This record gives sequence, structure tokens and C-alpha cells, in this order.
Amino acid sequence: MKRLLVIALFSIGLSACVSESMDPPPSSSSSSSSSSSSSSSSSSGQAAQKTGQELYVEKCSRCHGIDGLAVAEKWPKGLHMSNYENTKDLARYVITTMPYLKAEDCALENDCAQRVSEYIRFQLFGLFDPVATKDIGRAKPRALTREQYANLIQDTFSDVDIDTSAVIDLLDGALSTAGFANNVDFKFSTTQLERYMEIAEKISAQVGTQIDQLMNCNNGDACLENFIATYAPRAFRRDLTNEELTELVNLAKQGQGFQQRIEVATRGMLVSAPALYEVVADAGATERKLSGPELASRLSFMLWNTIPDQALLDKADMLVDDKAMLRTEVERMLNDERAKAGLDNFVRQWLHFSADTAAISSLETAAEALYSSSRFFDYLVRGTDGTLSDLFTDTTAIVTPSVAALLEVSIPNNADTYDTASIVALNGAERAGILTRPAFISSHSLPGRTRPTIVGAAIREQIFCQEIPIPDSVQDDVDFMAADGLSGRDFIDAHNSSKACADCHIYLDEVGITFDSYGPDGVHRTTYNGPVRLDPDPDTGEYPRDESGAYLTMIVEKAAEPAGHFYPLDPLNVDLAGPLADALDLSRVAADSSLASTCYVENWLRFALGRDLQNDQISLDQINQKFVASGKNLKELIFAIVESDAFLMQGPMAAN
Amino acid sequence: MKTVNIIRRNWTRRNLLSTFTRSGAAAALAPFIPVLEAGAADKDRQYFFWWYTGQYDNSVRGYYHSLGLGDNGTASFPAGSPFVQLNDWTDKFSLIQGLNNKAAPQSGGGGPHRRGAMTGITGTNLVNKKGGDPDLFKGKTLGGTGDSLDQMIARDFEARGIQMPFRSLHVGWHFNSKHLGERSFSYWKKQPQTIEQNPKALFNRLFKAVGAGGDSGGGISADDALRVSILDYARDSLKRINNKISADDRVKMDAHLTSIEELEKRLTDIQNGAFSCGEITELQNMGVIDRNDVAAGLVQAGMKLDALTESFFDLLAIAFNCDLTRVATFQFSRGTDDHVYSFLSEDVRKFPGDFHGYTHNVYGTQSGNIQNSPGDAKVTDRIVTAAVKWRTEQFTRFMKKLNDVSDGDTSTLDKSALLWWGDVSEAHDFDKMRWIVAGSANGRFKNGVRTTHGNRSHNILLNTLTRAFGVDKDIGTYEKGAKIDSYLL
Repeated sequence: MKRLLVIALFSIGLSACVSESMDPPPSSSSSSSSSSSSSSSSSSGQAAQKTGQELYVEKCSRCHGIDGLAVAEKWPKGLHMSNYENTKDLARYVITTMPYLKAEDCALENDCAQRVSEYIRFQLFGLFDPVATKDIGRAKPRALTREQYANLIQDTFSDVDIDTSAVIDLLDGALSTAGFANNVDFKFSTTQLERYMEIAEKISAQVGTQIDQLMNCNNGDACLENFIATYAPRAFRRDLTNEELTELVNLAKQGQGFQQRIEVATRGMLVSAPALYEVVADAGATERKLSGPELASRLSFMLWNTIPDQALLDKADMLVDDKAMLRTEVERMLNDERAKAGLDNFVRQWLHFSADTAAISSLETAAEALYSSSRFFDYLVRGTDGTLSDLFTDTTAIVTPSVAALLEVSIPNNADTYDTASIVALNGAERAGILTRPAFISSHSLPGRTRPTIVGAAIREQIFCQEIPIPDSVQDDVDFMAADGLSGRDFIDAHNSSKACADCHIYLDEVGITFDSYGPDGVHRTTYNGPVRLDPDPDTGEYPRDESGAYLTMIVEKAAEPAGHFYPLDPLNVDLAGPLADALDLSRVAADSSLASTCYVENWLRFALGRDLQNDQISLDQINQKFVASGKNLKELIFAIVESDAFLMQGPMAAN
Repeated sequence: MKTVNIIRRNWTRRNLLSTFTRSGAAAALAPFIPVLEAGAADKDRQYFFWWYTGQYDNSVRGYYHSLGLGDNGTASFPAGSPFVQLNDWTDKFSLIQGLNNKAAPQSGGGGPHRRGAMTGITGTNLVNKKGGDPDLFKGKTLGGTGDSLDQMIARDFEARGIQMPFRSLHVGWHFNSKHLGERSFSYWKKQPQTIEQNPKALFNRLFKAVGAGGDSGGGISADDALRVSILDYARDSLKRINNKISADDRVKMDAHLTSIEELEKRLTDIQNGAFSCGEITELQNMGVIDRNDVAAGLVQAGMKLDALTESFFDLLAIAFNCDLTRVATFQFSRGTDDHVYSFLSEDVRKFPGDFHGYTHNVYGTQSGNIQNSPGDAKVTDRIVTAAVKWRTEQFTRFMKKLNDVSDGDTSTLDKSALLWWGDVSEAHDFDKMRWIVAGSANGRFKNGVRTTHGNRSHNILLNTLTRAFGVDKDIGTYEKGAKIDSYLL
């Protein structure tokens, strides 16, 4: 209706009244608010001061029509607003492509794209940008990850030795939702159920043979009931209902003899829904606070990657309403050794650490490289008052001897230790924070080969939360393969020799190349042996190829060339644009970047909640503010998250 | 390791069993033979199997000619082709060429191998979803929007009342990926089917866990009665959770409930003698390899790839011949074939590398550097040819095992359709792909011919196979309703 009104007003020549009489477009982004205010206050005739409407008429209407419905003979398609969720999306399109073949016309004018996009969406089409009205997403039930399930078994029967290797052998790794492995999307199949049944049988046999160490009794119904009443609440992370207790006892009594009854009870516990799933009951139409047990599970899986201990369960109901007590409890949990597992779980997934790439030839050393970087992260969060800047730039390292060798640093005899490794200082001319360590580098390399594109993608996505553009049709890999096998700058130049590749790959490769100072195993280098193409034919300028079309190459010693460039992916956010000298420079950029800071917060919140954050924007903003106010203190961020509404509440049914 | 070679001549189902029980455990056969005889009487019985091998037609380096692509005619390959062993079975397979996987390119991202593999058996476009992953694009490719051919057939069997101990079996190797779409290429309702990666574990499932009741007198054993009780308890606990969650989330719990019911039914049916292979001691001694007994490094280096593969094929052959399942898949690689064929030749040991690298004329040296200098082509040619030849040996060996079990004038092979497919074609893309179908699906699918189809979606072949199995449904998103009528008998 509004759109029709606007068109009608245009048709009778009252367009000037339209922009004055209408409210400015609502927007959740500060950038659009500020730009709309600047446009509405403009009065001079300078181009930068033109209103969105004036800009549209001047630059767009010739093809798209004064009403946005197109000029049929010139551009019959009209404007398609369905492609753009908000003004920023549309502005991003406009600034790169419009006016057709003369994009610089708008790009060179201050805020032109933003203002014309606001005009198109709000005034021409009556479209309002979505505003977060609900601030609580909804937690969905999820099966525990296999690591959490193994930990549940260990911690439920913590008084005895339980071999949980069957869990890791038989279960697959968790599925990922919102960028982290959490099994939110996991569904049981019959095959998987068989595996859980097999695991339960193996574990229960161990429990049965050690019952004397678990209980002060070893016979009779009372003892059986006592066993269930003691251990089932641990596995279920809450008190048992009478009904549950009765059912488990009845199940157990189907066993022959006391030990088998214990085993049957254990098998029942381990394949029952309360043990297998983390469930936050639905809230209905409006959000609600988590129950104490729900909050305890959420806290313990986030911070410990395992079930809550009794101390946490005992005070869980009070934590829901008492943030001071909650902070104290989280402090206790972070000081507990189990917090290592929780922090490892975050940092390894966030930065995609993997020992499986074989870029470090020894599996043991690769595992120690991951341990070293995980402990560095742990050291900053729990061992010191580390900040995000420290994470990207600090040269402290926690090393084992084999990792020290990769880092080419010696361990003094009197070196302090953290956890089970030594604290050393790295050469600041070669290393900065966590990105310049072997764990990150080797996780994104292959044996004998670095991967600038993959490193660049990881930096863009994980450090800056930038969406990498995926073309409608990816070029055939033949050209890519022609570049494959080259190294460093030669790889990039070959890769980006066609515009079709370069359109996307400059955003990735020119970031990834900054790591050319490191080999695939993370060892620093100034020169290295790598393949390069043979010289081009002087007559044709063509590079020689073999009969299959592959470029011919030879191995040469070449100097590392880590200079790259951060091309802005988002034309409306150019604060990151500019040359990069090397990975140290990139690390400094990350340390100072508000985008990296926001991205780090987003990653933590997605990790903590196991969901994307469309419905958690208000909490996200509040957490961000607290994080910045704390000087980007890594531990304070954890407090800010657990104290947020998004963490403490279950969202309404409508929030997906 | 003891060689598995239980089928050496044409067997009836009854004398096949006698080889398993030479020691005279006739009692163990009691519950088994009636089932087989009943099965044999089921003249409409059909089996479906697919084998996925990455780059099976040597996608990059121009081996395409060796496949004999050309005019339509007899299903055969030219001399020197690594597929030439299939010529011994000319009347038992067909070669369908020239089809395009149109579902793969449109999805964007993921690399051609992954996209080809994830769409090849569903014929359905992938979806993109942000997830974050170390590999470029990988985290955004969720895949699995469509049902795979094997699942369409298996579920249709079930809907028609054909109840098997195992609705379908899935073996092979896969990424232990965080992303759903990379777990398996076999899908049903957006869920990947779980792949068994250890032959010994599959063996246990087939013959130990579910077949141990041959001498139980027809009643359920005490152990399995307990298992059923535990499953009952688990079901009740799930139902309590169902009361707390939304209808959307209940779908997840419903899958769990269904799996409980299926497992309970299997336990009950088997122990009641509805299905059983009995306690077949010969089978238990057949030397199935246990992947857990092989050092991880050796598996990674491909040292046991041949033994693992043969064991899987042996077990799947028995599963079909014993009528324990009628649908099976073997996902030999996880998109890109990165197996190291170190058991194959001195070349591989001298120039270590994975299959994918060889197809690009790239291999790793002992020092770990990558080489692709001009002189390497002959080496990689030899290696790639040997690897494809070995794959063909495995496929034809499986064909033989099914062909050796006769039912009257047909065999298990005749009752089967074995689809061999891959991810990309000779230009490393999705055009002019080829598919091998061995077995006639019990006289419903034509064998012995080679046909070429220009610029058509490969969905027309998948649709043809659904019809051959009596499933009146289209697969995927292209060429709805289209099929290759000349193959349908």
C-alpha cells in the first residue's frame, strides 16, 4: 500500500514532499542511521549532500524508471528487492555494480550507495530493515558429542577406572551447527543405536566388576536402588523422579544376580534420553529462564566439556537468579582443571586446528603443536589477564621440546612451566600470537606444501567473520590445478591469472600469502625450495605445458615473499583495507580491528549456545560492549556471555 | 590372513550353507534353511548395490580413450584399458555414457570431487550453509537435500512389506566430518546413512550380534531379551522428553524412536527364527580383517587397503547371498580418492602419493616435497592404470561371488543391479560421465549394451533404475519423469 502511495505521489509531481513527510527508515545498524541523518540534513547542492531520492533520479531512474518498475524498453526486469535482506545488502550491490558500467559514479560519492539504497527500499518499496525485537534464540535438544559422552561416563563413575576407548572407536565425531561441533543436527540411526548399545555393554561390564569400589554394599534390592539413586542423577545431570527411579530399578531386576543387575541398570542409564541428550525444555510463546539443572549443564558443557559436578548442581537453582553467585561459580569452574578441556574445545574448533593434515610429519609433534597453542590460549584466559590483542600478538609460548624445535627456540633450564610444558619467549621478529604458531599453520597446510588460499579463507572467516563470495559457477579446476603445486607468490600469480579466479581469490590468496614466511609445518623460513613454472615461450608468451595441458615446472630455491594485501570484502567497511607486510602485520591488524573483536565474541557465543545468532542480537551487542569495556579481556568475555539473557534463558517457540 | 574364498563354483543356497558348516553343525542350519528356501521361492527378489570410487575413469590426464567411449554397441572395452576385465562379463553389464551430472555444478563451492560425489546418487542440488571449516567452501556445503537411489529402493521395499534384518548396509570410508553432507553419499530425508568402516564390526553385526540364536530353540535368548528391555526403557525415557520439546524438535526424537523399534524388531525376529544365518563357525573363522588391529599409520599408508576392501566385498556378497539385506553401498573413497595404493606396485612405494595426486601427475617424494616435473607422467600413468585395474578386479570379483550362487536358472547377480559410479569425468567436470550397471535387477534392466546419451542429466539413469526396482518415483531435480526406456525390460 505504501509503495502504491509513493508511486502515486510521484505521478502527480509531489515527490519532494515525500522525502520530507516520511520518517527516516528504521534500521538496526548504526552506520545506516548516521548516514540517513546526514542525508536528511543535507541542503547544499554538492553531490555528497544529495538526498537518496535525488541520487536515484539522477543515476538510476533512466533505466529502472522513476518508480522502480523499470523502463520496459531499456531495462524490463525492474528492481528485485527479494535479493536483499536489508539496506546494507542492497548498498553493497549498488556500490560495486551501479550505475551499470559506471559504478564509480556512485562509489566515489560519499554515502551515495547507502542513501540511494535507503531511498529505494523505504520510500520506493516500503521495505523496513529487520529490527531485533526478540533477544533470545531457542536452544534445541542435541545429543552429546562423543567426547562429552565419554566424559560423562568417566565422571559418572569417577571413583573407578573406566576405559572409554570404545566411545571414541565406535562413535563418529560430532556434527557441526553454527560453526561448532555440537550434534544439534544429529539424529539417531539404527546403526548408531547399535553402537551405543555396544558401548553401554562394554562400560557396564567394567562397572559391574568394580561395584565393590563404587558401593559400600554388594547385594540386595536396597543396594541396587542406592546404586541407581547415586549414579543416575550424575548421568542425567539432575535429580531422578520417582517414576524414573522405579523404572530403572524394575529394569535392573531383569538381570540375573546382583552384578548383572548393576550392569543392566548401567546400560539403561547410558542409553536413556536424559543421558544422551542435552535438552532445554521449550518455553512456549514467551521466553523463560533456564531451570537450575539446565543452566548447570549449559555451563559445564561449555566450560568443561563434560557434565556438572555435584557442587555446581547443588547451587544451580540459585545461580539462575543471582549473577554475583553465578560469577563466583564460573570463576571456580575456570580455576578447575576441567576448564582446560572446555577452552581447548573452543580454540581448536574456532581456529580449525587439526593434526590430521600431516603437514607436520610426526603425529606426536603435530599433537604437541596443537597442545602448545591450546595451552597458550589457556594461559591467556586462565593464567593471566590476557586480552584479545595478546592472543594475536603476544610472543609467550608454552612449548614441549619438539614444539620448541619447530619454533627454533631453546628452553632454558630454569624455564617456568604452565601445565606440563615450558614457558618461553619467541623471537618477535618471526612470531606474534596464535596465528603464527605451528598449530594454525600446519592445520591449514598439506605435507610439503602451504595453502595460501586455505589460510586466507580461514583468516577471513574465522578471525574477521567475513563471508567469502562464492561465484554462481566455480571455474573448472583445470586452471586451478595448473597453479596447484606451485608455491608462494607463483601460486597466487598463476591462480589469479584469470579474472574469473581473481575476482574471488584476491580476497583469500593475498591474505594467505602473508604466511609465506613459514613452511607447512610452521617452521620460519626466509628461503625455500619450491616449484615454479618454466619460463614462457619468448615468441608466444605462453607457458610451456605437457601433453595433458599441465604447466611444466621446476624446483628452485626462492625467497619467501610474505607481502600481501587486505582487499576489503565489504565495500561499506573499508577499515581493514591496505597492504600487509607479513603475518606479523596481519596479526597486528587483527589485534586492533573492531571487526576481529566482534567476530571473536560471535564465535564464543555461537560455541556457547550451539546456534546462529539471528535472535540473539541484543545480547550479542551487550556482550560486545562489556568485552570492549573490559579492555577485551578474554576471561571477562566468558563472564559476559554467561551473564547474558541469551545464555540464561530459553527463547520463545517462534525463535529459530 | 586367511583368504576369504567361500564361493568357488555355482552353489545353491542350500549347498552354500553346507560349506559354512562342514563340521556338521546341522542343527545350526535349522532356522536358516527354511528362510533361504522361502527366499528362493521369492522369484521377484531384487538386490541393489552401488560402488563409489573417486575419479574412477581417471579424470584428468586423458585416459578417457581407454574406456572405449564411442558409438553405441556392445558393452566392452578396448585392449589395454584398465577396465578390460569387464569384457569377461559383457553380457552381464551395461555401460551408460555421456550423461551429465547437472546437479553438481550449480551448487557452487566444494570442489568438483565433493560436489560430484555428493550429488551423483541423489541427483539433487546441494544447499549452502555457513558452517566454517578449514577447507575452502567446505563449511558451506551441507549437501544431502535429496534422497539417494539406494534409500529410495530400500524404503520402497520396506513399504511393500519386504522386511529384512538390515534395511540397507553401508560400508567404506568417509570424512569424520562435522558436516552432515560429508558423512555419506547415501541419504534419506536429509540424514546420511551411517557407514561401517571396519569389516570385523560389520561381520559382528551380520553374524554374531544378530545370528547367534540358531540353537536357541526358536525363542529369544536371555541376552537379547535384556537388550529388548533396555530398549523399551530407552523408548520410555525418550517419550518423556518428547513432552518437553516442540514439534519441530520431535522429528529428531522420532528418528531415535524409529531406530529403537527397528533394533527391537530385528532382535525379536531373528531370535524367533524369522531371519538367521545360524552359528556358522566357518564364517567366524573366515579371517575378516579388523581395522582396529591395523596400526593407524598402516591404514593411512594404504598397507591394508586391499585386505579391507576384499573383506567388505566378501561380507556384502554373503549378506546378499544369505538374503540379510537387499540394498548395500560401498563408498570406497570420500569424494576425492586419497587412498595410497602402496600394495599395488613398486612405483607407488618409490613415488609415494595418493590416487588423486597421481591423476594430476603429482606425487610426494620421500622428503615430502611435491613433484610434478615433465618426466613424471609415465610413472603416474602406470600407477593410475594399475589402481583402476585393481578396482575393476574388485568389482568383477564381487560380480563373480554373486553370480556363483544360483537360484534355478538365475543367480544373485542376475537378481541384482550393481551400479559403479564416480564423481567427475575426464575433464574433471560433470559432463560426459559414465556409469556401469552390472546385473539385470531380476530381468528388469538390460545388460550387454553400451549407449551414449548427449547432454542429458544422469537423473534419467537413476530414474530408470528406480523403475527397474518397481519404484514409481523420480529422483532428484532434473528431467522429471524422463528415463531410458530401452534399458527397462
